[in-house]
Amino acid sequence: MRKFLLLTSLVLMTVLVVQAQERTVSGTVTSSDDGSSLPGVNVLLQGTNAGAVSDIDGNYKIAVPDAGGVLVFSFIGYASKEVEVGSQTTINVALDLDVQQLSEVVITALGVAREKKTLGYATQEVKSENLRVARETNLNQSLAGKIAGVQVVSGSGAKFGNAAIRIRGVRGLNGSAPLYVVDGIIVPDANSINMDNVESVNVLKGASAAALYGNRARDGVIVITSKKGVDGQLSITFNNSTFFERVATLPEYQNEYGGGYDQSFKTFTYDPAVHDPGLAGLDGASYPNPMYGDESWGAPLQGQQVAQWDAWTKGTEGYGKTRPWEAHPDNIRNFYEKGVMTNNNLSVGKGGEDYNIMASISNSNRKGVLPGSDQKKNFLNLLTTVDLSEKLTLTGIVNYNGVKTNGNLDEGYGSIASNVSQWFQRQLDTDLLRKYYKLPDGTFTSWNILSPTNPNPLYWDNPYTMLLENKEQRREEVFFGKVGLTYEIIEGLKVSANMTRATKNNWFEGRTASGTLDTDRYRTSSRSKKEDNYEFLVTYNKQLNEDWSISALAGANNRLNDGFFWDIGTVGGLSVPNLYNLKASVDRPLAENEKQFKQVRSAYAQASVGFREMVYIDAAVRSDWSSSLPKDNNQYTYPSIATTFIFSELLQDQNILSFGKLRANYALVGSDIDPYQLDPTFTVNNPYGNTPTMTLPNTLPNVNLRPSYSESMEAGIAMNFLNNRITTDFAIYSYNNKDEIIQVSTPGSSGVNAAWVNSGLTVSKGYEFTIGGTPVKTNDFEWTISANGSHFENEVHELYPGLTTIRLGNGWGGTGTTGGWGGVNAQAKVPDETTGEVYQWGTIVGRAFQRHENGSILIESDPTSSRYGKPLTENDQILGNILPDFVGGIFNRFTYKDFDLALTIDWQKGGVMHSITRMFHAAAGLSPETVGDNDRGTPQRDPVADNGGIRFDGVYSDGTQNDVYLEANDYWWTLFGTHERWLYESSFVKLREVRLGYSLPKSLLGDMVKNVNVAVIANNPWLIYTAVDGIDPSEMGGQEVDARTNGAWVEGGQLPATRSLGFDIKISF
Amino acid sequence: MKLLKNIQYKLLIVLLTVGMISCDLSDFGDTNDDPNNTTSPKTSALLTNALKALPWTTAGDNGRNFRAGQHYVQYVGNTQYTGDDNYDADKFDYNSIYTGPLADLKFIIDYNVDADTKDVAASSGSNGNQIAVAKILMSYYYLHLTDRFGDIPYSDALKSGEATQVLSPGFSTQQEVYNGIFSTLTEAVSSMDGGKIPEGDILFGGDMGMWKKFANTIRMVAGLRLSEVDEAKGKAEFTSALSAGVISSNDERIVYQYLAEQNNENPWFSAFRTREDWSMTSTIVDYMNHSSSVNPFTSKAGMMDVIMDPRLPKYANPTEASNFKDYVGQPYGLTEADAGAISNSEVSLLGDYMRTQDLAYPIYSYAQVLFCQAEAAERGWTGGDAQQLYYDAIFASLEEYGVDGDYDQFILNSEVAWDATKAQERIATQKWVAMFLVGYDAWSNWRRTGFPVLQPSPNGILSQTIPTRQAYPDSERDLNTVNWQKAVDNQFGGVDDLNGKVWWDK
Repeated sequence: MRKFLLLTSLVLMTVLVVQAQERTVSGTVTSSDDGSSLPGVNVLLQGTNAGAVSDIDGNYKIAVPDAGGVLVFSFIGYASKEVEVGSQTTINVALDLDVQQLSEVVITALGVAREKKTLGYATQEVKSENLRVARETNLNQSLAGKIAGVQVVSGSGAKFGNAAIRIRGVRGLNGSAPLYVVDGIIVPDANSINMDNVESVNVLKGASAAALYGNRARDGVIVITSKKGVDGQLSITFNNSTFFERVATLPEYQNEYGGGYDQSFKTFTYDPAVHDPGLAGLDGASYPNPMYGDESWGAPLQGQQVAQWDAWTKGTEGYGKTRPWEAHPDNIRNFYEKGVMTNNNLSVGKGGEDYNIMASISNSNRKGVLPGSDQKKNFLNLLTTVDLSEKLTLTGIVNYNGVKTNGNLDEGYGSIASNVSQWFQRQLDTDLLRKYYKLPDGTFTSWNILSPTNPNPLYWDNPYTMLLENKEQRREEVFFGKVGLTYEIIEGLKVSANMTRATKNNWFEGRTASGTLDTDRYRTSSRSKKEDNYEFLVTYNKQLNEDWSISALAGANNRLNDGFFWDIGTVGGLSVPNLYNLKASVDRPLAENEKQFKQVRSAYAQASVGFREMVYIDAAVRSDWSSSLPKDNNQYTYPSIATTFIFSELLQDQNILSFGKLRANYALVGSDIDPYQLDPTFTVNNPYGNTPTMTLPNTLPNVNLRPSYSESMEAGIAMNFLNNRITTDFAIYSYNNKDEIIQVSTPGSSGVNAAWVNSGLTVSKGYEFTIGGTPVKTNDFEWTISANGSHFENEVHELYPGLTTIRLGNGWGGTGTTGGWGGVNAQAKVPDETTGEVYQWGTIVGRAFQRHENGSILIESDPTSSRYGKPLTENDQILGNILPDFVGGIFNRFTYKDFDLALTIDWQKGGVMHSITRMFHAAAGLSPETVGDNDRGTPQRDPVADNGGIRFDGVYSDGTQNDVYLEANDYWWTLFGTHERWLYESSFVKLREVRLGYSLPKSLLGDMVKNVNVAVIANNPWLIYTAVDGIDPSEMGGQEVDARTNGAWVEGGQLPATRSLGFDIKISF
Repeated sequence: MKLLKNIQYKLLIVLLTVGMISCDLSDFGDTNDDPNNTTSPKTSALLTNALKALPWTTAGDNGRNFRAGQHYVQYVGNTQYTGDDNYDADKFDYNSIYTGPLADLKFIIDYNVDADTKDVAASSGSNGNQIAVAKILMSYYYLHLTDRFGDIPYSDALKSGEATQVLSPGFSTQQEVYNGIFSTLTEAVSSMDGGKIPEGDILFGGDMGMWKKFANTIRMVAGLRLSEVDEAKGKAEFTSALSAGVISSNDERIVYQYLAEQNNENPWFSAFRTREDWSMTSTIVDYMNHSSSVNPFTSKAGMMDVIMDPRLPKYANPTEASNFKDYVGQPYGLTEADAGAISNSEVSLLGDYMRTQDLAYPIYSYAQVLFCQAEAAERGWTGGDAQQLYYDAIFASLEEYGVDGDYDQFILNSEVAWDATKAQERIATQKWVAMFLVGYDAWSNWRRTGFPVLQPSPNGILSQTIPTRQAYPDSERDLNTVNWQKAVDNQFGGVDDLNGKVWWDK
């Protein structure tokens, strides 16, 4: 409370020092290079202390004596300019680039434009042209390889490829998404952002940089600045691109054996009394054993005549006929189609003396590589600023985007990808499946039929049935906007009031068609989120004299978060087949809804003092009051401080080091929780008939929760050499996350499965660097390069007393309490009591081979054991860690005359993933390793009795070599659930994007057209290296929440990575 | 200047207002009250919820967790993925029983006892009756748990919400649990107050007489369980329960009535909606089949020399390969490769009758109660006629399945007819047949008596013998380490697996 009053009086004092001035000169500062407005330019009345700083749109106002004087415009990276005021009231200035200097102005927290060199913390900015090399439509995806310390976890293009990012790894026990802020509006997620409208993206990595945004900024902030109109001119830009997309990475498959559980065929005996006459021709025909076997352990594919699924399915052309039993090597690749995406954008903008307006419309139409999938996106953006009077500026922002996605895009076990790639059979003909997935009478067929007399499916529908009939539709609409008023009380002192609102609504519809494997069903759900912020801000900037400058702000914010959710689905089938409506529910539909509301009140202040453009000190403090915490404990205050020392200012007389600065900062960030975690409440469960049921909560609430704090320290050095031809930046950091508000698991026998507590200590630390430069620069040719790399870790030091591990996520089949298939899971684990070893967050624990002291796998030597000749295994062994050891990227741009080539490579070293796909490929006899000769030179699939089979390479406990041969399918099934065998490094190197562009010579363009650029672009053209053959470890995520924590280490039933090639044309008028 | 002053003035007001509000910045009123759930519990709804979990103990649910017992006693096998047959899981999750029905029932008791809430609670039935019902059900669930795992959290359990909070409960010995169950059941019956019947009772519709019989039947079954470890105690409880009144006809058999709707349907119905994963084992089919039928997989003839057990068509479906005429059991405990080589059309799948969507699923059958009495009589615990009780039990079971018309013929089978020299084997084996698909209880009988004679899976993964207990869930090891370790040390020499023997299993 006291702090808040302190803030208020600070504001009051600044109000009281107001002095009157004689007259005002205003104008806009632009860059002569490209006409863009320059924010943060120092404007000084020569010979006085009076100064101003240009705002985000490059506008400035300065008071001058009636007699005028000389204004000095200075800005790092640009040559200073002096202008005689005379009688002018408007002075627009274009500054020339100063090649001797290099600097950037970046937009920091709360939209404050700052010279990057003055910042005491790490931020990294990417400009639009580097962000959108391949005209990427997802912001997170576009950051891949470009920002030090940012790991992008992409999702498959087959499901339209959203991506999640981790900034500096995962902090604390429950890493969350960074905060996305567009022109001062906090938006729901990265998907809300129209990439066509982005001018630049600045990533605030550290807590200190982000502290003014409060607890939600713990995991970093991404500040997005939209494009603005160019002063004094109308600009119209039209951009079209068209892409063609193909599946890129698929595992290899064997092509020697077909479907079945057994190599023998069964023989059909036609019985006219029982069978349809159409089957008469199949008397004596061979068919796979059994028909419903969904694996490829069947007979060798030798072109022999076999009655296959269609032979028993009336209505197909193959009914009653045999077909050659032969491999279809590309049957899985053929299953995916060619995707097409077109993107169009039209933007119109203009800046004038007292206004700036920019409007943008984008749409994209995409047909996915999965049959039946498509996506339409529309964006509308409008940004205006108007000077209502000399001192009063109005900002109005309206953004809308809508996305409609059709298609069965689920991943995981039982999904479409597991149907066609984890099981399936090598002899299946995709064209036939496509042609006959549905018969004219409406019945559905399957490759996985029960028996010759029963063509109903056992385990799998035809994949086309899943895609084209069991449809899903997702719609999303996001709206965000802002109305802001800024009043300049005196030169340098401004007050502003802003209201922002961001809403996101999602709808989902899913259907299971009548007559397919599962009970027919219709389900629909909706989720809405709304955030309102009412912000009041006072800012003060002043160049006090030649030596000292000050900038300060104080503000208050009231944040309101609303959430609403409902989900209704039919139960027991549809009363009218294929009527996808809740009214058709046979039984009482399942319905639930939930709403949430939370409010956070905040006050904050920041002051920054600079001395001789050499030393800067920033200090900030923020206080939050959160409705979700107990009343007596719901306020938390946290400070941050950052210092900068530009030591190159002291080393003027040399040519090697052109710029050098040291920075260091400290920040504390407080956190709260989601609402409604304090009081015990009873949940209504499904009724029994008409009798209601209710149950006690399984999570123990806690009325004694208090805010938690994360403490961070960061230091860095930036140095540029040889006239800034080489730029470097290095940062090192450490976070202590203490007393987090977490749900700790408790043994169910206590009555609850989990309890809310304040507990734990994790230490996140790491380093990151960038090295950039312009190795070659001639009149015609220029090569710029920027490389970055980072390492991060997250040590778990303490959990809750008595608690040694928290399960962060279970692998496939795991249940947290019983394991299931050995229970592979990722954990936060306290240090080993005896060895003192500290474990990283995300330690993977599962079933491992037992090993002989010589390192070989131990094999059961007891002939009476069912495990004879098989590896001995142990559960609960540490197998690795989710987080990568190192991530990095290189961005290159080459320009030669009017040509421009840009490419991004990114890579990851280390991190461990569990490939369920590979495990199934072996168990289901699909992978190449399940065929070929054994070490006796006999095909491994031949019976052991005939010298076939395969032997585990390992030793008995006495050290002698195992010599037991197992039948091939027994061998490969034995490895099912032995997690160690299916863990892979998630290392990869990837050429992510390439663009080759050409700007038409001006001589070819008329007066109307300013610029035409055409380009060939490729997205994901080349997975240069992967540690898991056939799987792209960089595309294992995509669901925002899961990818950051759990999802990105378990791969199973994953849709494949895609690559796309396209053409881009951009015309500016 | 005037304008400026005006604005300064207004700004001052705004700031002062903010300052005044700031005194209350911590006050959010009722903002954080959960609108989605209630703080006012209704004990009748909690009771219904606790009753819905009842068939987890017999039918199992759709997870493999509760179904393992059906495999241990070889009622069903897997047609393809034979993990359950081959003991591939050792840890089993009991948490949902504690956090579900047991926590709800404990709350019902507390709510009816607490002076502040007992009057509100009484709207769902008299305090005494509600307490009695909750205690009976808790005892039933605890009996189920201790029989599967051994020592369990009992006297220390369910105390997360109490003033002296226990988040890491100690384990009570199985003997303590049994003693607790016996006394709780006796108390429960005596605490029935003749007042308003409990609402939400989907088991007996508030019939307190049936609750009394349920309590006594649990006590009787538990008493018999002590036959090998503490015969005196077992006999005392058994006879006391019997004389207090147990279920006495098929009309009184205790069943959980599934409903003909997907949300409340028989889990076997759900399991067969899209799959054919459960076959009958040759163990039970060969036993029940007529001697003229030779199982092509085991080459064994059926054991019945007069007529096939008339319950077999209820338990099993005939095979598709025989045009739905023959019953063929799949050998128990095949490897997945061997099971895969047998087509589903060649073996009997679990019978359509047992998969009826709204099956009245047995909890305690009248036949089971009679078999218990037959065994007790044979042991000399009671003055009953073991032979007569044995035949009565068989008749009751046939009647339960509506096939009692074949009774006279059926008991002529030499495997079925009373044989005083093999009395306990006959009783236990027929009891096993009668308790079809009540896996865990049948497994306890097998562990205690050794009958029927069963061969373990030849391809056991985590155990080479038929499991004699289940290992505790990881949550105890990871979250309650000290107590878990103590329990495992005290009972099983530090090894928590499928092969330890619980206290009563001598």
